[in-house]
Amino acid sequence: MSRNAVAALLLLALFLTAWFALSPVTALLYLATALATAVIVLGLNIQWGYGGLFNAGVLGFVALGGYAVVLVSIPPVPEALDAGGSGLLSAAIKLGVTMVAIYALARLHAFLPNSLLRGAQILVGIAGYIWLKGELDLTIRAIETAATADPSMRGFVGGLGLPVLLGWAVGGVLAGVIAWFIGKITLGLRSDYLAIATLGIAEIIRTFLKNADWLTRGTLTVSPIDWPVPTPRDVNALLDRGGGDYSVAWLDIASEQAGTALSRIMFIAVSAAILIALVLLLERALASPWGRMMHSIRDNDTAAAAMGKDVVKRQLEVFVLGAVLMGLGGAMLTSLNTLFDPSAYLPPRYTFLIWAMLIVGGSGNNLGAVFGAIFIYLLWEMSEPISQFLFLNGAAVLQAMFEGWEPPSDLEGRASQMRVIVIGLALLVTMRFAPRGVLPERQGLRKR
Amino acid sequence: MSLLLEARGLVGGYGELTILHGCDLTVEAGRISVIVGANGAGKSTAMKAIFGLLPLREGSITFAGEDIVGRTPQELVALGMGYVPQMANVFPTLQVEENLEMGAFIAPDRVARGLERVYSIFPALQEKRRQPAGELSGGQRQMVAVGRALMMEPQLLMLDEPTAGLSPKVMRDIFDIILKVNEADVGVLMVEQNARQALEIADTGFVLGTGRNLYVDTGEALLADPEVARSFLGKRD
Amino acid sequence: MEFADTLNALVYLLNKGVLNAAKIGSIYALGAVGITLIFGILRFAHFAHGDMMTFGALSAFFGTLWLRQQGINIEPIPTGLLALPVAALVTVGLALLIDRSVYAHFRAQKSPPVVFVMTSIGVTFILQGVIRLIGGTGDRQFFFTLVENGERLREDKARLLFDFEWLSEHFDGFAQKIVITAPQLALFVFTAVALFGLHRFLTRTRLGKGMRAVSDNEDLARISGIDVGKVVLFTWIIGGTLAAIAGTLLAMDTQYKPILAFNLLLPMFAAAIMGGVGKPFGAVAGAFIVGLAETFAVFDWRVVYNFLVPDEMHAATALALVPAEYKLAVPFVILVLVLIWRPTGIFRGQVL
Repeated sequence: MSRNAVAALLLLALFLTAWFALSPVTALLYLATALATAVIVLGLNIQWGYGGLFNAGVLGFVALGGYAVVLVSIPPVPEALDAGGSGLLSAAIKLGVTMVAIYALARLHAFLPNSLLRGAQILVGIAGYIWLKGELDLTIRAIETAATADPSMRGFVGGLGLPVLLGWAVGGVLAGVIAWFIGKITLGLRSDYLAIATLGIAEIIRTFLKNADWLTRGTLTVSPIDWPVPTPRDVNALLDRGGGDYSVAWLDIASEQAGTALSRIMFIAVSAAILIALVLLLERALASPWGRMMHSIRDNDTAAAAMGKDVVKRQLEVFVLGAVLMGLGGAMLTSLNTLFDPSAYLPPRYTFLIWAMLIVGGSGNNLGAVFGAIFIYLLWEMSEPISQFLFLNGAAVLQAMFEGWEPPSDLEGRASQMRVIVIGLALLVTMRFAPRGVLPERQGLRKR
Repeated sequence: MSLLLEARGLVGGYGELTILHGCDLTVEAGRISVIVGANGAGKSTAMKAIFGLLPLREGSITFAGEDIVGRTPQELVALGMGYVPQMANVFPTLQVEENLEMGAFIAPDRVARGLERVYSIFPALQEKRRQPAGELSGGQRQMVAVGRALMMEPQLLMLDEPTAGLSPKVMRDIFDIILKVNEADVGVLMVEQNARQALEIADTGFVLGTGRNLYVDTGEALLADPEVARSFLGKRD
Repeated sequence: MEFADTLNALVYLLNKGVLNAAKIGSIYALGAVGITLIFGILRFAHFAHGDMMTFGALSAFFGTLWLRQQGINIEPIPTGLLALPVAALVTVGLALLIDRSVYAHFRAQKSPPVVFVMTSIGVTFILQGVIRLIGGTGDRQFFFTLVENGERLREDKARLLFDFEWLSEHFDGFAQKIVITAPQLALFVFTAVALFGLHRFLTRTRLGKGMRAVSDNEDLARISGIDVGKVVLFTWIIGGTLAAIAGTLLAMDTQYKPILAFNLLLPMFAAAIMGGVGKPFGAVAGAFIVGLAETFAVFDWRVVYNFLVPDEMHAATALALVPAEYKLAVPFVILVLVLIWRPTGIFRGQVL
């Protein structure tokens, strides 16, 4: 049996365990999340597996994709736009002028020494910031105090009120555009410097999204966010009107879960279709001359540069392409959660877990990336109930053995921490004993 | 004459790539052996293999009668071997004197005597002892590198292309230094690109090609051999 | 404008601005020195360093709890400081355990730096889990009231108060004071002593010079006979000790949190890179620059400004360059600018 088949069977076994040990709807939710996450991991695979770029700022692009769904699908708040629309426009123009000025300075590299140039760029940036800040502060205050017809939307500009599927696409585009700027300034740094720089930029994006209440509602969060297919609520309402018994005994689905299950299956179908299309496209790209060139750059960028390949430009391409997928995946996740919560984008969950998925799955191999995403995500979700079960029973045993011993009151909370340990161990064990992952990249293409 | 270093049938290389195909190298106590040969002949690789920086697949190496295959560089330094690599052979941010002290890291009680000896060979270094080695000229750096290797008063000094990248004048100075070190009964094994000058001071010369010994003889004899002269020494003007 | 108001402005600035910058700068310095030593000697960005700091703080907390329960104390030294030596030992033990069980394998394989960074991310995961597993997910105070046999035993955060009475006597209207708490004082003293000691160690001892040599050129260090294993061991001992001190003193100054030091990681990287990788004293300078920049970017100049201008020109709203919510983003911006502008550091460190 091939390695791929064994891996698929392993996933199936994990999925069925979740299905019957937890509940069918929970297992479906895990799978839907895992598929959306797999899109993000594919993006990282493009950047790292194909391009050799150490991007430790995955969460920044995921969060941007998440915000794009808000921007596109949430209806606008007209009162806020009346109060601050013109101010925002003018601030955007000032931002544009500043950026053009910085870019124009870069064109002067023939006349100015490099350090002077960079210094001037930073000064122009700071001056532009102060120029922009005064107006932006006033505008934001106007938006935040504008009275709205819907009090729950107060202080928030809202979005465009367009279909959510468009939001997914915009998620990819927005992440890609921002990635282009980031790549422009960071690519060319040595691997671990690039990691530190991207980690820092992702934190800046996160801090902005979390605190720009007028744009994202910050810690107040935005919900509900729509699905491209009928949501569980829609389907449940439909089934309630029908009023029959929808239970499926052999699948362990109770009647009241049927609507949710059906809706989630539809979401999974859409996600899976996107994922399969992406994998097929990426495989074709990899087999093309472009893909072979990417490999030669990743394996030896000095030699590739010596052969006249424009290394930085190609790396910018993979960086942007990878970020597009991260944004798309982030948009899918936000949709699935029906909630945009900028505070939830934390590095362990949205950067390092993604890395663990790629490394365990097998970087450089698209199927490995998908496998790693689903496998690690299921492991991540299921290690929590398993360790809680073990901990609570273990505590009971200990209590019986040692009289007077009291388990800590937050035992359940502590047990849920086991899952980061499990993922950390999975990462370390893979790096040590199977450094190329469970489904390694096909031989002949790589030598590292 | 007893052999200080005796390496026989060395086979080894980097990973899958085999570079040494059974060459022999020897140094007599207190004498100078020189390795010459074309680029890629395995000269530096042989030096690294002897100094334990490269795993050997086959071959035997003895130093002062002791088997040293598989020994770490630390152990070899303790036994009385000193090695000066070709590139990056000083600690740039450490002061000259700190560089020298590092040569006697394993035996702190020998630092004072070692410094005295090195400064007597290279008086120029004493003036610069507080200066970071990275700020020195190429020739002075080479002195620091050789001085560092001499701190433990080795019986054998191994030099990998000590004159690479230096001007002809500095190159002559370095050869003078090597002779001076050798006068104190230190055996020398060195790799040289400037084959003619090197063979002139060599007691024994080894001409390597594709990891094998092509010619082994005294330096004088090799210089006189028309075959060697034609293939390796260039035209005599 | 009265001279007393100028004094008021100055002392206020010192108390609210410079003191805070010095505090956060000291914390960054203690962490960044460890990071830069590891960067220079082991040649990778150690992502788990922040969690080592948190782990040190947690061990110190448990030590404090135990000491308090035993009734051991030395007035007026805060109990947390008494627990510090043990916390440092435990943290060093942890660092060595991680090195032996994880990093040593990849060192023997001569793996590239990215592999080390990745494994240190794995270690971060495990440490974060372990920290919450044994310490719980909640916050903890180092100065707490212990209830024993119905008796309430308090320990308060001692503070030094400078109210400059002699100045108030001379200048009417001068009414500012400087407050330094015991943990802050300890932080300044420990930072000064630790950095001075480290300087002596690196420039005067054989092993310290050996560490600098390995940082300069590891291959040559091996060839010279330097015991690289011992150098690695001492790198972890120094890094671990400084991490434990920084974590504990930070937690004593504010409180212990499971994510105490994760947010410090990037500012510390910024400091280490700004100072030039492998240069401990560059990292110290970088740490104080980052601390100053971060503090004064969000510093509200209103009070200072109002002291200095006539009443009718007083500002009513905050006068800060950056809103306070963005305080954490300031070091990241500095970091990115440094990486782009001068990746070798302001003081020209080595390029790895």
